[in-house]
Amino acid sequence: MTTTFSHAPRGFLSLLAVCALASTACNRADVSSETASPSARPSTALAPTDLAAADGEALDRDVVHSVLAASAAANDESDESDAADRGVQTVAYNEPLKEKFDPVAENGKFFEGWKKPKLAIVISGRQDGYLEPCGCAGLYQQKGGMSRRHSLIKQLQAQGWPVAAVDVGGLVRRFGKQAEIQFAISADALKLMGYGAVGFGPSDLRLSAGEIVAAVAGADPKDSLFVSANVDLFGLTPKFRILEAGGMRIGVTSVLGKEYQEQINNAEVAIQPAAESLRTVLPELKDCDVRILLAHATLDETKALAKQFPAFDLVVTSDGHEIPPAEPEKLGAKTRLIEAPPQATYVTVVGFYDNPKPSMRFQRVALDSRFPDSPEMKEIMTTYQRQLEQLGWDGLGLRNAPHPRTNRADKLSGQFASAASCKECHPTAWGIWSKTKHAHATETLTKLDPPRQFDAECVSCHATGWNPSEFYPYTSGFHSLEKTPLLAGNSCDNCHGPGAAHVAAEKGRNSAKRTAEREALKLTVAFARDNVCAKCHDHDNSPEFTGKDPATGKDNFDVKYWPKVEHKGKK
Amino acid sequence: MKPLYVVIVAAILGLALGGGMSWARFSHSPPLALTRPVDVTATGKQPQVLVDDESFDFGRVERDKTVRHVFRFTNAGDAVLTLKAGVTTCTKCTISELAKPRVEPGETVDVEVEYTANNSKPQIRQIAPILTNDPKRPRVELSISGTVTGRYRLVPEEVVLSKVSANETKTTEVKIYALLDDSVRVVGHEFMAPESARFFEMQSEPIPADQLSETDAKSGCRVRLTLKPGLPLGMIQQTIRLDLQLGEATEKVSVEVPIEGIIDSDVSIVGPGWEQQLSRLSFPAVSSAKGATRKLFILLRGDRRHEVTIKTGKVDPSWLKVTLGEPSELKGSGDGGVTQVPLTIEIPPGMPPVNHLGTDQGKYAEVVLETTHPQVSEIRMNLRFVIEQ
Repeated sequence: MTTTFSHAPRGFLSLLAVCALASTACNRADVSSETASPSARPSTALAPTDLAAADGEALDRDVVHSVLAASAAANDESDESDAADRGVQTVAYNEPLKEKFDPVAENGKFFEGWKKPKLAIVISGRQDGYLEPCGCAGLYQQKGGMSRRHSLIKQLQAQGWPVAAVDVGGLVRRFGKQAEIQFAISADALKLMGYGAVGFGPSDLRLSAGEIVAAVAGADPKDSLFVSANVDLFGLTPKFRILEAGGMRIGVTSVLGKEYQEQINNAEVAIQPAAESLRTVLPELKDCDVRILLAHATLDETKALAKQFPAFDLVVTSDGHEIPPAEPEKLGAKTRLIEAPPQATYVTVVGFYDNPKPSMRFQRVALDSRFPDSPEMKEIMTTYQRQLEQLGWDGLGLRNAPHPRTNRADKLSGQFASAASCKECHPTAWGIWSKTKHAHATETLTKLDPPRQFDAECVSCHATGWNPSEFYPYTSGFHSLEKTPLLAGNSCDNCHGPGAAHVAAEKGRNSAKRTAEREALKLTVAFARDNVCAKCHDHDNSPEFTGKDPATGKDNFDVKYWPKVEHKGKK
Repeated sequence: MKPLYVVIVAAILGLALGGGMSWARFSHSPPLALTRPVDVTATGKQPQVLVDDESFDFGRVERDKTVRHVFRFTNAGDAVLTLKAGVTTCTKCTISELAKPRVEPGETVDVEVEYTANNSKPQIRQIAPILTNDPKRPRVELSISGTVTGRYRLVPEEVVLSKVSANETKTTEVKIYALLDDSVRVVGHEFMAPESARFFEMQSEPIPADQLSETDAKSGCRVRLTLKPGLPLGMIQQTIRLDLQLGEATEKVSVEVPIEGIIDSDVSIVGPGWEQQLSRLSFPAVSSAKGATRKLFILLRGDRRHEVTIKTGKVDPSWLKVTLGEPSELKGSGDGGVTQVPLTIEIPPGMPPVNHLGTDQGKYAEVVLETTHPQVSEIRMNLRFVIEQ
C-alpha cells in the first residue's frame, strides 16, 4: 500500500481536489446511462429451472414463468410510466447487468430434487433496517430485501405449496423517527407477505412503545403478527401463535435473550427472563405438529434454550453466520438450529414430508438477483419514501450538528464550500472529480424509482456535508436540491474537510491563517482510505473496496478505486 | 456405410439441437458452473472431496490481529480434484489461500483461511467457500467463528434512552470492561453537542472485582449518565467522548458513545387504533347490533406522575361509554418510570347507524379527558367510526 502510493501527491496543492474514491459504491449512477433493454434485467433473464426441482414433482415451469413474467411486465410498465412523468431515465430496482453475473452459478440452484412438501415454512430474520439491499455495489450481486423475499414466497405458493412464514425479528437497527417508520412499513410488508409470527429484536424494542403498538397491534390486537413469550407491550402482544397450513398446526413463540435485554432502556416495555417465560408457554403448544422457537439471543443462549426445551422442532437464532449452513445443525434428538443471517440476506425454507423420511428437508435460499421485484413491495417502498419526503429532515428529528473540525472562534470554520468554489483555483482537480460518479451522487438518488433523495440513510453518502455513518447533516451541509444545489454530489469538502474557511483565507491577507487552513485540508492517501472513504465504502455498501483484485492479487483500492479519482498538482 | 454415418451424425446433431432449444426455452441462465464436471475422464472416474473438519472456532481474537487456520482437504476419488477459492462473506477480513489447486487422487492438501479482526462486529461468523469439481460437492463451505475482543469493551456501545419526559431526571449507565489491564479510569470527558451539553452529567466509579466474575474483564468502570429536565421536545442527539486510562499506560484512549432518545410530553396514549400525531382513535366498521370496544392506556411520565389524576370530561355523542381504570406502575425495562391508566371506550350495542368519519357527512366523535397535570390540563381524542345496521 505505502509502496504502491509512494508517488501519491503529498502537499496540499496537489491534494486539494476531489478525493472521489470509488465508483462501485454508486453503480446505480452509471446504470442510468448504460441501461440496456428491459429484457436484460435479471428478473426476465431468470431461469425458471433455477428455482425448480430437477426431478420428481418439479416446480411447474410455466407457472413460475408466468409469475416471473407478470412481475417483470408490471415493473416494466410502472418504470416507463413513472419515468415519463418525471422526465428522467428510470433505474429499475433490479438493474441491468453491467457485467456478466450469474446468481445461480454464484449461489447454486434451489429446491433441487424437492417434491411438493406437505408444508413449507419460510424462516427469516434480522432485517436490520435493510428493507432492500442498498444497491451501492450493484443490486445484481447483493442479496436480501423484502421484494425478493416476497417473490420467493409467491413462487412457492404458485406451485401449490402450503407456505407459512415466520421471522425472528430485528426489523430495524437504529433509533428515531425513520426507524419507527421502517418498523411500521416492515410490519405492513410482513402482513402482506403472509407472515404468521414475528419476534422482536432489541432495536425494535428501543423504539417508542406507542409506535411499536401502532404497528404491532394495528387495528385489532388479535391480528398481531408479533409474538413474544417474555416481552410484554401493555398485554397487546400474544405469547404464542398457532398457525395452520398444509393441514398442520404450527406453534410459534419467541424470546428476547439476556444480552439483548440489557441493551433496552425503555420503561414502557416489560421483559421477563426467557427460560421462565418459555416454561409457561410451551404447554400451550402441546397439540401442535411443529413447534418453533424464535430466539433473538446469542448463539450460546439459543443453544442453551434448545437444550432446556427439547420439545421445539425448530429453534431460530438471530446470532447466525453471515451465510447460514446448508444443513442446519442438529441440537439434541430432534431440534434443528436455523440461523438468520444479518440483513436478512438469506432465508431458510423447511419442507415437511410424511414420506419418505426424514420428514424435514432444508433449503438455504440466497435472496439474490434471480428473484424479480415484487410490485406490492415496490408500492410499499414508494409509500415509505413518500413518508420520508413529507416529514423532511425536521420531521425526522434530524438537526444540523457542527462538523467535528469546527473552531467556534471562527464563524466560517466547519462550513462547507462546494465544488464550485474549489473549481476557481483547482480546475484540473475539479475536472477529474466532475467525471467521477461522486459528482452526480445526489442525482443518482433522484433517478431511482422511487427516488431516494429524501432518505437520510442514502443522502448521508450521496451529498456534501453529512455525517456518513450517523446519517445527520452538519451545519451548512446539503439540505435539498432546491435549497443547496451547490452541495449536491459527493464533493471536495467531504474528503478534505469543510472548505469555506480556506476559501475565505485565500482571499484574505493573513498568510498565517492561509497556511493553517491549507494544512487543515491536507489529506494523505492512507488516512483517506481508512478514515474517510471507508465511512461510505464499508462492508455493506462496497464489499470489494479493500478486497483483493482477482486479476492482479493486489488490493482493490490500489487497482480499481484510487486510480479513478487520483489527481495531482495545485490545479 | 457412409449413409449410415450420415444418419447417425444427423441424429446426434438433431438431438443436440433439440436439447439445446429446450434448454434455451426453459433456462435463460447458463448451466450451473459449479456442478460442471472437470477433469472427469471418459472412464467415469471422478474426484471426491473430503475435509477433516469444515468449521473452526478461533475463540477470542484481539481486534486488528490476524489469525489463521489450516483446513485439510483430501481427494478420495479417482480423478484429479480441483479447488478454487470462492467469494468469502467478508472480503475485507477473510482470505482463503490455496497452496495447491490440483489435488491428485489420494493426496491431501492444506487450505489456509486467514481472518483479520478489523470488522466492527464483535462476533466472527464467516464463511470461506471453496469451489471444487467434485460433482457431488461443488462447494465446500469452511466456517469460522469466534469473538473479537479489544483492550476494552463498552456495554452498551450506544445509549438509547427511548422516550423521556421533559420534566424527568433520567439516569443510565455504560460499563467499560478492561480485558487486558488491571485498572481502567475515566480521566476526561466531553459532551460533544454544545447546545444540549448542560443538560447532561457524567460520574464514574470502579466496578468492584466481585461484580466482574461473570465477565471476561480484568477490571471495569461504571459511567453513570444523568439527563436533567429541561430539554425541548424532540430527538436527543448527543455524544459523550470518554478519555480512558487503561492500566498504567500514560497514553489515554478516547472513545465516543452516542446518546439518543426522544423527549416527549408527560402524557400520552397508546393502544390499537390510536394515532398519536392525529389524536385520533379509529374503529373498524361497527355493527349496530354488536357495538365495539377499544382498550387503550394513558401513560404518565415524569417525577410527579403519581400526583396526577384523570377524569372524564366532554363526551360527544353522550352515549359513548368511557371508563378509566386504576393507575398502576408499568414494570418496564431500564431506568425511569411510567404510570399506566387503562382507558376503555365503548360504542354500546343498539346505537342507530351514524357516520363519524370526520368528513362533511359526519364529524368526528369526541372524548375529552381532564387531568391535574400542570402542563397538560386535558387530552382531546377524536373518534373515527361508522355504525352500520
